[in-house]
Amino acid sequence: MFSDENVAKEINDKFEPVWVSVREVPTVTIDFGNGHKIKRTLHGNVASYVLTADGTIVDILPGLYERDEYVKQLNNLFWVHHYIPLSRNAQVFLADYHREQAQSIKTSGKALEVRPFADMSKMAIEISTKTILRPPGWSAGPKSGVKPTATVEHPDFSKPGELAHWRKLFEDTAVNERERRGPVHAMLLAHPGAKPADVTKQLYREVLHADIDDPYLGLGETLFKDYPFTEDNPEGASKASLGAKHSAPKHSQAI
Amino acid sequence: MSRRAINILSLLAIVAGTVAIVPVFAQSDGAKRSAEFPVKGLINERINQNIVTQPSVGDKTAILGARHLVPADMSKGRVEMPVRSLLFDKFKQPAEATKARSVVAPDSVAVPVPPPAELRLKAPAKAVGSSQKPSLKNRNEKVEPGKVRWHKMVQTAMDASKQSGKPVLLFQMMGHLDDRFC
Repeated sequence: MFSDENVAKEINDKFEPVWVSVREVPTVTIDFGNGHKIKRTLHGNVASYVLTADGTIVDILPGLYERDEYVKQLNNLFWVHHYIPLSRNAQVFLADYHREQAQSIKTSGKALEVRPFADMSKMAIEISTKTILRPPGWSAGPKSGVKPTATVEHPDFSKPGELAHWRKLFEDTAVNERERRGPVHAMLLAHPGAKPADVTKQLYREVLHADIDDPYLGLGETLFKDYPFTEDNPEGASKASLGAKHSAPKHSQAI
Repeated sequence: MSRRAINILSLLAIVAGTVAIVPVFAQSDGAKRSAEFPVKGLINERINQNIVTQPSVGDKTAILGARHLVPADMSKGRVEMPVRSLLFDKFKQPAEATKARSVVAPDSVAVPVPPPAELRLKAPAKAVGSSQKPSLKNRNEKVEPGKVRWHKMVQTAMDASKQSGKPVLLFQMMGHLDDRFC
């Protein structure tokens, strides 16, 4: 996505971008036993934080987004950031923003849109969430007739730009907006003025379902619970991943 | 002797001098090539025979030590490892890299007369470049992380944000954005 000219331009123009790694990505290798092996990344996940200059989180986009929606959401967050210093109280403004977004997602399944250039209005308006947030689809207009982007189920990844039309990416984007952003807003509402370090673990554990404190990323139950040959499991796998609730039988080697 | 005859003789002398100098340059160039040629020949010969080097386990100094005959399609890692190790050692542990040159092959295939040490260090790299394209399938090589102008550190991005007034975009991920497979 970051190789796309338009996405890169949008980010370079509007943001001070930086990327960080929270941990190594897990990989899985399947050895077919005939000399053929395949290696894939597994359970990798991402989050895009928009921060103020002092590192306070404005909002988070959880997971991977398709190109156009990513740019649209980043643009919304750019404007939220823009309005913070124009509001009466930054912390109250952000709390109101997260509350109203969480409510909108809960009721309509979609986040509210952020009105750009509200402070440039002829009428001198006070910047608050009421004056900047608009219903979903507001920017497209009621009769916009915008065609949804054509998606491809099995894109040819050797061709540049094909990834942008991958149906799975669109489906992931929809899941992110419908199911993950609500909990993100709730989390940020509960942690006013949070910095990334304050919420990263919670975000990965509760929203992205990849517990970065767990050596098996929360996959332990799936990996070990019903696997009969426990001697194959790595040392401490049952304790680390299953906890008391699903612990594997002790001394199972003797069975 | 007429003035014209003197001029002609002078001209002939200059031409003769030039002709005499040319072989000197040619000879020096030839000498260079004659020094290089056996090394290139050796490398090409080794490529043709699919002979590559393999480091001994746990002994970085023996990078050029053990030599094995392997099929070309199996040799990717074996070719890369010595090159990487050589580069690594060369930059990080010059003393050890120097030591590596003096290691004698423990078991081996008959190898022609070894080239000068300095050139011998370069041999595996040339072999990789000329014999086969490195496959990307099993390597997680570093790539450009897109066309976005990423700051190197979060603090740098925050400092830049103070100056520009733009928000910081922190892209957080498992793995590394500059890895080919992330």
